[in-house]
Amino acid sequence: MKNILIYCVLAVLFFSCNKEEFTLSTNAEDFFFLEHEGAKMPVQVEGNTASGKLIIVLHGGPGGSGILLNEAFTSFFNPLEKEYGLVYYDQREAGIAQGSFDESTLNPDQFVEDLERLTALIKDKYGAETELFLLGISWGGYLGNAFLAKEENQANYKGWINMVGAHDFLQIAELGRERMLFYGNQQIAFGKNVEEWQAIIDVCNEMPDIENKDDFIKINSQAYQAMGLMSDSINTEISSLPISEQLGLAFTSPYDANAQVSHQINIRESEFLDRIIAEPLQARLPNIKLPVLVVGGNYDFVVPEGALQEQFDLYGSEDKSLVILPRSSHQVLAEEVTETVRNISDFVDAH
Amino acid sequence: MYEIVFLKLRLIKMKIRFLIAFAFCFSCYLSIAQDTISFPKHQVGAAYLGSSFTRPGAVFSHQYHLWGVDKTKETKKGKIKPRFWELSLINRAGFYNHKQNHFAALLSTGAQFSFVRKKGRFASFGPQIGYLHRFLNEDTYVVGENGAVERKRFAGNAQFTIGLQTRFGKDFSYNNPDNSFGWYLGSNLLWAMPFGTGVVNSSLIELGVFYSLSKK
Repeated sequence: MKNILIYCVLAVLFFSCNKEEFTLSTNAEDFFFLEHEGAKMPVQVEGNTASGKLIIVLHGGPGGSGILLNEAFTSFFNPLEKEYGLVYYDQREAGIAQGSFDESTLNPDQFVEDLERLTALIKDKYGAETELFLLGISWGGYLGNAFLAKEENQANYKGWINMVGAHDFLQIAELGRERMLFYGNQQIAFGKNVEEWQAIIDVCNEMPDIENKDDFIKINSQAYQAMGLMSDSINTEISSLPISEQLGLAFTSPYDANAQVSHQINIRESEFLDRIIAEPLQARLPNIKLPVLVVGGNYDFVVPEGALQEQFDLYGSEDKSLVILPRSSHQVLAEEVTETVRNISDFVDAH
Repeated sequence: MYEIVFLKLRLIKMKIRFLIAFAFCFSCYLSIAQDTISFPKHQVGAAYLGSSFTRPGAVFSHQYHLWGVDKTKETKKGKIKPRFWELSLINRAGFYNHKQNHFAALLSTGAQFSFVRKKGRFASFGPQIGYLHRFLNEDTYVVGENGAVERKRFAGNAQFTIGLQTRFGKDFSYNNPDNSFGWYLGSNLLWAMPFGTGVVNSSLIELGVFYSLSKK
């Protein structure tokens, strides 16, 4: 029994005292945690950190996972990793983040503060001269907007890549509703998926005004269904993961589906979405003066083109560009990937 | 915020005390019940413990027999069908490692209700409560307000767990009193809290052996 206890203690010491390791290489694979305000957020740095350029990826959701994006969308991220270092992290109450914290910390300001700490950590470990870029996807776009709207945060970054990112949750739902009505009527006229589109149109017509979280969730769920009906018009370049990689993800990777499901339930039961809805960012976007690339999808009913156009117009930057991919929806990591990766590389190289 | 955390902790503490008191009273009640046959009083076991099957670890257990009854039946054709019901208290200490996620140390106690058939084949199930400590198994950093970065050792968090366990296996001592070994395959469904702002569930699988130390 005594020996067993000794082995257990040794095992704990072994797994708790890993060597501190940060690499500047063309093929870095670093993994560590950032602890802040009760949350323990995993950070994975992969790719060409020797390039001196790191792109911090802000996952969607809220409640998504940067670690999962890296594992699941290799065709999107691997070409970028050849050229730059990519930093994937899971936000609090998301992915495989751990720790325990109060529900009141689920607010945009806290997420911004977490990202400020991550920025300081990356600068500390990879060198103050490292050039940082921020790449936000969907909810990550909202977070990136909120973060960069604080002028002191812009000083640490060379550029902002907003991919189908939001800035006003009620507005994106309103615009999404209008777009679904437009395409729904058009598709019905073409005789395509008539029953399904009619059901979506009925829901949209029942909600002339989007006023709260419940309305947002209803429209958001219809938007995903509607995008599924447009598959003929969408150019999906990445197919689903092979079975072997799915098994690897489930059984041998750091990823933990149980943890992510728990986080998503917690977020749904929290008032986080109410808090985000209560804080649209229109008034703060003119503060963003660093170079910006905005990427959207023509068939995106979740964050439609109109919302991205408004953000683009409001940014205070003089160096900004907007790319609407003609055959993409909200799933820009899987659709027209070659074009998107090229746009991102050109943007990062130019700055 | 602190009031809410304090209240949550008090609630968890109260639940733990209630469960411990209940388990103690239940154990006392059962231990005075009379057994009708001779059951192994103490069993110790060791098993592979896998979180989501493949995140490896080990678990060591001690099982204490509380009560048992012989429900052996004779069929109309005169065939003997041995059947036993048994209740045990099971204490376990284990660990597993989820690479680049956490190293977990687990302590638990619970009741186990077993149905044993001929040749010692058994199926058992029961509730358990316990303590799980997650140690982050990669470097962890804390960044202060002034931007100062510090490495934090032994970062992790403590969790209270409740769960259900099922086991299937064979106790060779039922068939051959000179053989005190047995094997089992077990599964556990655990809910651990706090995790984020709520609870996380996890599934653990066990495959191992046990040894009966003594007969009553």
